[in-house]
Amino acid sequence: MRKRVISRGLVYAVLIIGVIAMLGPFYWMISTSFKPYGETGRFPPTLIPENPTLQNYTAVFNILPLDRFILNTLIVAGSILVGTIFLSSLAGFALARLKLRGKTVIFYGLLAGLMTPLLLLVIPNLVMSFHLGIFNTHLGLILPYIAWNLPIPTFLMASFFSAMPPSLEDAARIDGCSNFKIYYKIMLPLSKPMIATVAIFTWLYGWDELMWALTVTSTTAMRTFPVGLTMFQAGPYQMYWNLITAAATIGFVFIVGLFLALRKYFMPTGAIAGIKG
Amino acid sequence: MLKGRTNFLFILPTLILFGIFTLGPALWGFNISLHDYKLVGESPFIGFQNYGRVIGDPFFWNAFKNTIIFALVVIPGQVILGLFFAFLLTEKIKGRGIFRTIYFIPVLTSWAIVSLVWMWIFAGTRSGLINSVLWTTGVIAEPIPWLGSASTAMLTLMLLWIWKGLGWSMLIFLAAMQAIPESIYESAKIDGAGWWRRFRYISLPSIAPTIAIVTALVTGGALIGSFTPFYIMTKGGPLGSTETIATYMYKHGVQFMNLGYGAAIVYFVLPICLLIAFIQIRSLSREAKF
Repeated sequence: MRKRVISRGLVYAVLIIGVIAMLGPFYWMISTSFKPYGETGRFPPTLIPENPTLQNYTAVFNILPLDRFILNTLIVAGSILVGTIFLSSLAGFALARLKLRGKTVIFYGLLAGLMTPLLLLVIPNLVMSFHLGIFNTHLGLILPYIAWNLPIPTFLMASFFSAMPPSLEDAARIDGCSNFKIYYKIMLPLSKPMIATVAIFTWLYGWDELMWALTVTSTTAMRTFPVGLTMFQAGPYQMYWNLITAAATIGFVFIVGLFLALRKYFMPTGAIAGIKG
Repeated sequence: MLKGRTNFLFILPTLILFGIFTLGPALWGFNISLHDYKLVGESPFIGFQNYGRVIGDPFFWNAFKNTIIFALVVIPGQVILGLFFAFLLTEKIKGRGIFRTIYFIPVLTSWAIVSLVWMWIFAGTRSGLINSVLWTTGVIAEPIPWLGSASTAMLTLMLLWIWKGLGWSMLIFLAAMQAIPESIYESAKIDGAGWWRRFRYISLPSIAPTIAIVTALVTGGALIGSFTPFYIMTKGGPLGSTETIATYMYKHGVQFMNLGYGAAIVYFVLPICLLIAFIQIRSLSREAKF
């Protein structure tokens, strides 16, 4: 019994060290964002801001168009969220429940797409974005993002739908429901947990992706949040960590906010979708 | 017949997007690598000259070497620590769900945010958080320029990479471990099996396929996807010590607009990465049989 208490204590100790390591950086980010510039360079550093201020949070919008970066990302991340959920559930439904020619080919095609790294796609897509006239536009971000993001959500949706009992749709089919109606009225409402999980990772993808966003946008007005954030660090404000952390904290709230809102639906098995992020 | 066609409509938009932005470009990129490709004007066909340039480019091989070293550290780091914390969280303890969520928060944050926060924490001045802790406790006599020195920059990036990815591998392992019936652990406990034996002979064999998949995905990420934190924190420096295949390709292919050369770098490296991933899956799934 005593041995058990000790080992339990050890487990807790290790887990709590882990918690400090995991959350410490975020605490430091938020704490710094409330400090005046003079306090950021102090030694020893102050763990809790001595003269907390909200000034950094207004200043970040003045030195760079952070509101514009956020708006762009809301447009892009929102669009790929809706697009991914709609298209992946439609395709997943068809792959799992409908008669379809060439299913195996489609399956392996998507698998190959899943394994195709962004690095391979950046250059040809850049060239193509000029031909399609979508360079430096929202569409130039949204359409490729949906396409690159789709394979894993489609697999997740397909596996989710194929685990459902066939009796569900048999009854509806006898009543004369079309396939689309079965998808829309029966399958989609039942797949809330998977939709929420896919939504979390797709939202993150939109807020996270940097390489393509750097490549396909060229003007400050078109920059997304991650690209805009790097501009704080590259310009004349690069030593102003109070400002950089304030901008970072704003993005952090947007990203983690959706996760916390959808947390109760979150499916750990769907975490595989996180590899793109 | 008509029915089969309407069914196809469900998947058609996905296939169209996939064809235009993934499959088509993946094939066409190879064609680009065979040209001295220019966005405007003539793009002369030059055969495999770009590939010859890759092979003879010492800076490419430096990036290649860095990427391999980086991968050799972060792959076991992320997999072993992920397994370790997943196993700890299979214990019946209070607050399991909260621990799980907390460990997952770095995964749910964007790379741009965590990269900047780590730059600040690992600031090279005395007032940088890590330096001030180490200096106060007497571990170091002088502040360490973590990202400013060729000997520590890669180390800092490795730590960040493992820290950010740990919760992801942990969550997937945890999901797999929770599928193992509790009764097996209970009877092993009654037979007097300690935690190492329970881990080694129950958890590990039953989740071996999951380990193989996670390892392959982590490998792909480390070899080909090591871009954002490198781009933000060091831009490949100092002295090329953190140049990876991804940052090097981006620099040449996109920033300097050597489109053909950039494409050749990727097509040169890709078979090597696929081979590594293939060997891993093979050997790990053989291990799974025990």
